[in-house]
Amino acid sequence: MGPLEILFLTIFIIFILISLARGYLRELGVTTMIFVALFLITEFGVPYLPQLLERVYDFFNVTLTTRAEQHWIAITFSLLLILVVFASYAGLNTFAFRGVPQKGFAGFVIGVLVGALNGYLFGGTLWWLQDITYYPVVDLGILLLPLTITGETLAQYLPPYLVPPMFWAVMVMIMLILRVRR
Amino acid sequence: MDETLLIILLLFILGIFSWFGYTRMFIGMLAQFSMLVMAALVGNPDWLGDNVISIINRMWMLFSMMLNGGFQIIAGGDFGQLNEIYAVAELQPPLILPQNRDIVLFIFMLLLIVGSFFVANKIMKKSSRLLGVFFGLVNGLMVIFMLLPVLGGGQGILPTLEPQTPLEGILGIFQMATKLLLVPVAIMFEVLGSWAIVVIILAIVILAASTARGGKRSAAAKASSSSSGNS
Repeated sequence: MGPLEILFLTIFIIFILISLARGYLRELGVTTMIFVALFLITEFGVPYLPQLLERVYDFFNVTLTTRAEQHWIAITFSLLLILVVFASYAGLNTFAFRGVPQKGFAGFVIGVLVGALNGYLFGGTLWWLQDITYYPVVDLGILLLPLTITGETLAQYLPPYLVPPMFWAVMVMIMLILRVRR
Repeated sequence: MDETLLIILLLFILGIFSWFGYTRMFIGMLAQFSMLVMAALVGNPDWLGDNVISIINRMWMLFSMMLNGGFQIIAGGDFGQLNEIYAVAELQPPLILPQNRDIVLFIFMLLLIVGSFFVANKIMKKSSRLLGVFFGLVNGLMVIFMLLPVLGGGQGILPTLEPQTPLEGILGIFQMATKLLLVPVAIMFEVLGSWAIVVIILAIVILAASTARGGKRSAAAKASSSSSGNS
């Protein structure tokens, strides 16, 4: 498989195209759900899942290896995020914003920006989950390390690295306020 | 010039062009764009420049032929003597000498660039302002791309100072645009650190949410009601 940043870029572009096709007001609903997922994953999920895993493994009298723990963290939260985003797209439109989106070039630009934001949050979080767990996908033969120089640079700008977990909770509140404001 | 200072200057120029695009609107900017494309083609000897020089020199040769007895020959109907006058005119030096080619083409390019502003002013029609800003930025990038190498700058900013084909020129403009448009983000990251991402996310979300017009129902509800109406 090619460099990880190509996969990231592909996700990024797909989200932009989806945003342009669906309209950015619906995409803002997906953004809200991603913020919720990000808050849950970064504030509670990643810190507490290892403890939970240890207890479960202890219960079965099995030793939890570091690599197994990393696999668990990466796969659990990646699936959670994918599930949340899938649910947002597959009909859970509760958080979609009201009103009529801008038409023409302005609508196009805003659609691209919102799609890019969703792509960055989604793709960036999946990448971050791999990065903090030392890339478990390598064991599956899906990815070859080391990262390219571009990949290493981009990895410094993944969303959960840049802001504290509480920011995502604040963003959820802001999104809800913006949604009911009208 | 220091590269950072140059980039700030270029961003300032782009700001002026985007303002120009906002006031002259889309149609005016489109007219200017076509003039600038012409300027880019004429300014480069490998693209249209040499042809332009060749046409001017031939016109000049024709003119000097006419002045040196050509009119009399045509009036007298003795076309056989035209070959002699042509041979004499061909021996005379051309109007634009090869050593002056570059400076003449630069002047043509400059005239077309200046002319493009007059054209944009003339063809100012009510049209999209946002597209006007967009094309203003494109026009600004084109002008920078054309003038920067001539004015002795551009190393480190322009990917190639001497594009061999128009396609390379277009690629160069795209690369320069990417670099210049990423500079504000880079400056923001330098000043605010990782909090720059907070500002960017907030800006996108607030911009998108605040531009939704009217309507009490959500976009999703509208979509579902329209689909049920269709069925």
